[in-house]
Amino acid sequence: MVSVALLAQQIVNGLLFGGQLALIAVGLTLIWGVARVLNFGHGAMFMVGGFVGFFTLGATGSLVAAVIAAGIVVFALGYVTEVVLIRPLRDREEFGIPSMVVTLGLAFFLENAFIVWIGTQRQSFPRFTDVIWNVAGITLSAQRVLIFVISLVALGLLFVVISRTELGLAIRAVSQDHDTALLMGVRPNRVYAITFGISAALAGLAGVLLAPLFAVYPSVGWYPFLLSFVVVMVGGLGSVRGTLLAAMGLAVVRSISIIWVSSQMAMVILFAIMIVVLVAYPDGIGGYLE
Amino acid sequence: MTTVLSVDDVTKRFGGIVAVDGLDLAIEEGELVGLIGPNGAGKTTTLNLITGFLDPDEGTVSLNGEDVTGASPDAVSKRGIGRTFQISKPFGRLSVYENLLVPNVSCGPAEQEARIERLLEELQLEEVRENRADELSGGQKKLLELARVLMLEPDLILLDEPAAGVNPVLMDDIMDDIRRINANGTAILVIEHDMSVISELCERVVVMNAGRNIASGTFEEIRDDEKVREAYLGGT
Repeated sequence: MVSVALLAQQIVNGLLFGGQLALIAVGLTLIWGVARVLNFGHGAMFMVGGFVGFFTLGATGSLVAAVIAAGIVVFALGYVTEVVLIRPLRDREEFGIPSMVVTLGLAFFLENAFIVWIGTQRQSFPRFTDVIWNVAGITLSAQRVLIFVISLVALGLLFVVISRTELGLAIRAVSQDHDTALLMGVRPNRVYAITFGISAALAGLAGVLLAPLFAVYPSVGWYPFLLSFVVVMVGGLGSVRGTLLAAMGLAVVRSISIIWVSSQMAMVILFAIMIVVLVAYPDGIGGYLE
Repeated sequence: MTTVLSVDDVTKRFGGIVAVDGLDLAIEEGELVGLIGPNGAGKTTTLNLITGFLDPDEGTVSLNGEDVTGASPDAVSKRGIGRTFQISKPFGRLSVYENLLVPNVSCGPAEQEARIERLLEELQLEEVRENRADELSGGQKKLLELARVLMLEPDLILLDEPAAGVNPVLMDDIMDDIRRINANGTAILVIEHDMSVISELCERVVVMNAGRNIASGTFEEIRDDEKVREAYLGGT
């Protein structure tokens, strides 16, 4: 019999993890929604963010500098990826599959480049804080709460940019109709590159924020990528709202199932949920939230 | 009078098919011109060539005397050409007001705001300003498209079938709007299948067939033109 306290603890853990998962998954869904690219390199952006944070921390000793540097460098990496690798494919009749394959290639390239450069060993990343709170019988690590709050702030900022700024309006216009946006004097190519940068920066930010939990190594991005892939499939590719809901829901499900099963088995459960949802709602749950 | 748009000897081929074949077309400042022709005559391809969505294989397109052949659609729009589509394409998930914020205008925010308010009023979109564009009626969508194009204060507007899918009452309003915009000095090229719209609206009509400009004149003149009749009736 599972105690109420354990269940409550796991729900809280799940929600905290959901915030981090949302940070990764929203980037993945954003770049699909705007630029129609299913970015298999998203996990590699997460990994690069972790390494940039790791090196910046080594050089400056500042965690804040590490987080900011990860965001900026990975933004630039995303921007350049769009311009150099994705843009040349855009004039082709078939865009979806080639762009996906190119991003998969980029993921393997980056992973192997880091293996050659640094090796496969895990670099440990210091915790931001060791403080533990106990609230009504539930243990809360300040570290996790801090990461959750930073994730929410980053997502909140993204929301403000998209709903309240000129850039956000251009992003929303281009995501709906590329040709008409062009006729309005908006340059979709610029919007795609910036959106790719923002999406990558979110993954990079997650990479450094989660580095204390995951450590930093060249293949670290695949697990968060797979999780966020399940999240965006369930939430509906391109739907930010659906993705947020799915991230929270699936993280809680994962967390609760870990009471009874191993974390590998919990992953199997998540994939099973994804398959069931996709059979029932092929476009995910996002479309039903509009 | 200065020439706003000049299409000179433009040819566009798709594989073996010649969609536009040595087309010549000129529009003078402040003119309201109709472009008609049977299906497949190359009218929409011509609009795509003018607005930069397609590059001509031969020939040149000039705006206000400046060669824009091969320029991208956003560059063409900045040089003063606005276009609406046969099937209205407002940004459906944006509000009416936000739709009018999208055009990349060269003026400051205060002037942009003033322009939006003026157009909302002139085109009777005031009441639906906060509605999502996909909630509008077919006619309101056409009006919104027109307002959005006018935000750019173009020298020339290309209207692709403004009457398609619009009820006759609202069409009268839209025609009044088109006349008023034209009277303010904006040149307009209208593609339209509805001949009553063309005859009421346009002082000059250009007829295309098989990618060529086969006749140009007043509605009465082209109506009596033998080549035009052949084009529509398929010979004899």
